[in-house]
Amino acid sequence: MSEVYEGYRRPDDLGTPAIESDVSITLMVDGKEVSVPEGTTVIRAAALAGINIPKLCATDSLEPFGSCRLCLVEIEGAKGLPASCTTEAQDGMKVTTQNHRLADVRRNVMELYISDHPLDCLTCPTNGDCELQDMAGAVGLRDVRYGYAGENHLEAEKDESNPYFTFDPSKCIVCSRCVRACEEVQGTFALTIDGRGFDSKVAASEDQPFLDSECVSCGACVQACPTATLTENSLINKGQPEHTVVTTCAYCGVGCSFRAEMKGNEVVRMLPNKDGKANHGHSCVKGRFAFGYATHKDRITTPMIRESIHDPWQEVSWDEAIKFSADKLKGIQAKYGPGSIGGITSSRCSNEETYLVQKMVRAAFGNNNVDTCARVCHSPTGYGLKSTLGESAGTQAFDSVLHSDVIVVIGANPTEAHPVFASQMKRRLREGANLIIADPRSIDLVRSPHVEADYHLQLSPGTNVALINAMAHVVLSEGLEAKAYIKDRCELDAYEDWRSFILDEKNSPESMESVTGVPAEDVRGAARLYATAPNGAIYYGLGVSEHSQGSTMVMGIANLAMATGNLGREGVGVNPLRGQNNVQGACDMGSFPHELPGYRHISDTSTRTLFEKEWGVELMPDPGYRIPNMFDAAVAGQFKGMYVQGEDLAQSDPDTHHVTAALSSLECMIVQDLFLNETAKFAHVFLPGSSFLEKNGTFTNAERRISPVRKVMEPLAGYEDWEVTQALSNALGYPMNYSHASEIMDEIARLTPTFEGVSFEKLDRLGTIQWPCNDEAVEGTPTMHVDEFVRGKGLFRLTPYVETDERTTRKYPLILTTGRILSQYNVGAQTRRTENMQWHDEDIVEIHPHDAEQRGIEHGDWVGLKSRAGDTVLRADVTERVQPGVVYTTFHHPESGANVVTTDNSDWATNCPEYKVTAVQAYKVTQLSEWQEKFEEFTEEQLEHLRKAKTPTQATSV
Amino acid sequence: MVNQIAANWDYGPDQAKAVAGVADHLRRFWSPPMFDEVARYIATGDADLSPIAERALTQLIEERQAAE
Repeated sequence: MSEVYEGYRRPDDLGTPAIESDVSITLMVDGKEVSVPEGTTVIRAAALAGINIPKLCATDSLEPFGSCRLCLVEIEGAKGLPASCTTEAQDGMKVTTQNHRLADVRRNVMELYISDHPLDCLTCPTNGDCELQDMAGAVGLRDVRYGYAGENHLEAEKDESNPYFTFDPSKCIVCSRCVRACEEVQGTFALTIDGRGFDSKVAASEDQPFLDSECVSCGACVQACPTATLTENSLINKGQPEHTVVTTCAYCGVGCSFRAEMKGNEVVRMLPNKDGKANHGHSCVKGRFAFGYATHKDRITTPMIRESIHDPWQEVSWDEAIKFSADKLKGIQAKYGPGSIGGITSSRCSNEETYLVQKMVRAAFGNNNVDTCARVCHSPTGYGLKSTLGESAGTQAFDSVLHSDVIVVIGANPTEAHPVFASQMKRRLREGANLIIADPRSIDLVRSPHVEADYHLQLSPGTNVALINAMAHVVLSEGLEAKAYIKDRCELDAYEDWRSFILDEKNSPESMESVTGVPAEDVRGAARLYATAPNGAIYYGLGVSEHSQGSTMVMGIANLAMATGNLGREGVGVNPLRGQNNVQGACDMGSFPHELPGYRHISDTSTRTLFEKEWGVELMPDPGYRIPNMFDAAVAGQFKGMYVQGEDLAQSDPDTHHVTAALSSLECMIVQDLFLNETAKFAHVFLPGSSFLEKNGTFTNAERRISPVRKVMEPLAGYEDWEVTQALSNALGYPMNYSHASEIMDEIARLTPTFEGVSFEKLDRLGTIQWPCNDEAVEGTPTMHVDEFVRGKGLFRLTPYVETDERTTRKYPLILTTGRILSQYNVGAQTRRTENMQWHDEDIVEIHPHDAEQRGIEHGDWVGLKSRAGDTVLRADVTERVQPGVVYTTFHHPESGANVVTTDNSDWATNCPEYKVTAVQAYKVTQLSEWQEKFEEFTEEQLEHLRKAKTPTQATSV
Repeated sequence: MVNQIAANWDYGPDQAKAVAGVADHLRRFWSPPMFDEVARYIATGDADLSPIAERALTQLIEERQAAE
């Protein structure tokens, strides 16, 4: 399989965005006939005809602005010289783009620009990739008559506050592309043009340094800048790239496509791919800028082993590490039985890697003890959507939101956790779509520039199901249900059961008001708004799944969508926003202990036979352990060995005391990762992992989009992750002989009906594919359940509200809920090793002023948080973002110990932890918790063990 | 845990349906060692199980014994 390498060139720019229209018009540009959709601008029509009209303020990622006066053209029968970027092409129009008159005007315009621009092209960071430079060349500028003696901006001071880009106003031509990008693309409105006339200048917020402003560092302004005014620091330091590789971001579940712009083996910058179907050329601060972790000094690139977690590490060859691992695992199985070991796949790894880990567990370990980190995030999505709609996946493409009239966001914080999709959603909201938010916190979407929620249902944590039932009660009791849709597409007996359940008075908004804390009238208003919308779409996140009734809530959402007919077309749907890059893919690939790839139960004989035939081994028919079961069995002395690829159980899983007790009890913990993460501190074998830049494979994002991951540099430790799994499997006696990740995908396609038509070759051709992809949908499926549900008829499931056991008491009177922040990602292993630390270098606890005052807590104080599971200490942020009685924190830093406090309570159906509800007490303290002090000691011990790692005695291949 | 599963299936007058739902859920998602463990727990006589949970587990344990 060959990588998609191109020589470096700037992406094509057609001047203004594409227009969708069924009507085609034909015009003549410089005597050349071109047909375009009605509404297309002249500049774009010309570009489509292969004629590039000079431009500066125009770019096809932004609406036309018409300020630079460079793209002027002559139009037969029209007066003057109209700007081609703001002039709509007409049928029969005759356009002239080049003649003496136009050339003179353009040259004069450029002369004025250059008269206030430094002539330092040779030493300028964007030398060779500057639109201003190109335009000076294009218009034939040879002389600037005005000199520099007059007033100018050449001495304007640089703003280097942002760690990732530099703002050099001396090079600004005030084209407003950055301001418009911040508004139109990102939707933050942090930039403005300050002043008037000659004094006009770009300003961030109230003319603040970028770092102190409202700027979210998405980089859209940098990308839009046609000069060197806004430039990536990596480009300033390294110079222009020389080749490009298209790949997929390894951060959140949006799965942005990027052009990795390279200089040899080094990434110069990550440029969002305009052709990327999930991101359309946009990105966030993580994806665009926070890639430095891949070459961070903390990377471990030599395998290590040790007998005890209190021994120093010993660097060894790959062969030695693999043999040591295999011997240990075989020894444990011989002593404690075949079910005494298991493996964990990661949503941070590729489809091919997770597939191979689960295959190794089932085929080489000989059990089904495989689980994945989706256990602790979206396992309820799998359960809930499979049982109601028939498939464990979101129903739409991201672009579907552009057709939504009412958008419901439940327990999700897209501007922090899925920022690129949030920008798309905000664009639709600015166009007039209505917004309903159900969230205990006042997230940014509730009120931000040009966006305001029609309803913010600020429910008490843990009462989601009560709320969704109340909304359904309104729909049914007010006759707003989609009767024909239900009759045609759903199981009617189940619907009647559900209907009588929901219509029970105890589910009314008035009855549930005391439970949810949401005024009944708001619930009624929100339910009416959603039910009567032409297109109503629901987006949800971990605020739905990470509850004791996470699965029930997912089913409740599906019920509501079915009842209102909001499934099976664009603009509607049930859309789980997946936290990590490959949550969907890891689940698809059979990472759960009860399912083979494609969500087929392990007890199904025909499915099992299919895999047995391909894999040449007999498979166990019973489900294996889930992660919490593994921990329980480990503490009970029945589970002794684990292989963990790319996951950090010790930091991310709840009830840290229990997790670390389990990990400490293992006789062999094998961790495959980039860094010595928290779990690796309990490991006996460390196998160096490869970052997303160092391997081939695929990620599947939240919209079921399978996207290519390309090796842009050689693996620092010598091997892609799947090669290491393969070596371990071979050492265990189960042979694997793949020579490229594409062969693993070929096997997945042979065994998984929804992936039947997927191959690397097709991905090269199409760019991305949304599964199902098979004979019925050769190029994939953007919208699911179009004519019927995957399970046939949709199934309404009863969703009784069951109060969580995790209740407030006099001892623990507050509810702790946890979440994410924009600049950090999951356990922070990647983002903590980047400049993103400048935005969030510690986890803090948000507490309402009323609760803070009662406890004598002031902003910035150390606050102890204590639950029945444990206690930790964090710094306080006194804010009305949280409601009284609720405190909130993040878990991006291990020393914060957020999960020391969270409990073992979990979703009844899937064991997904109840991260969102922990009863706690908060109190002012002056020192760290006992756990934190022990954590520091243990960390220091482990770092000392790492420092003592010896040099390998031999270098051999896997 | 099994009490929690039972509570989420316990709606309406049809208790047999709830028991069947819980049993099916456990069959689909529980690993064999977990049944062994819960069987030992029930055998102690101190098991604090809801009626639906107990009926579902008894049914499953009998099922497993019959299959052995």
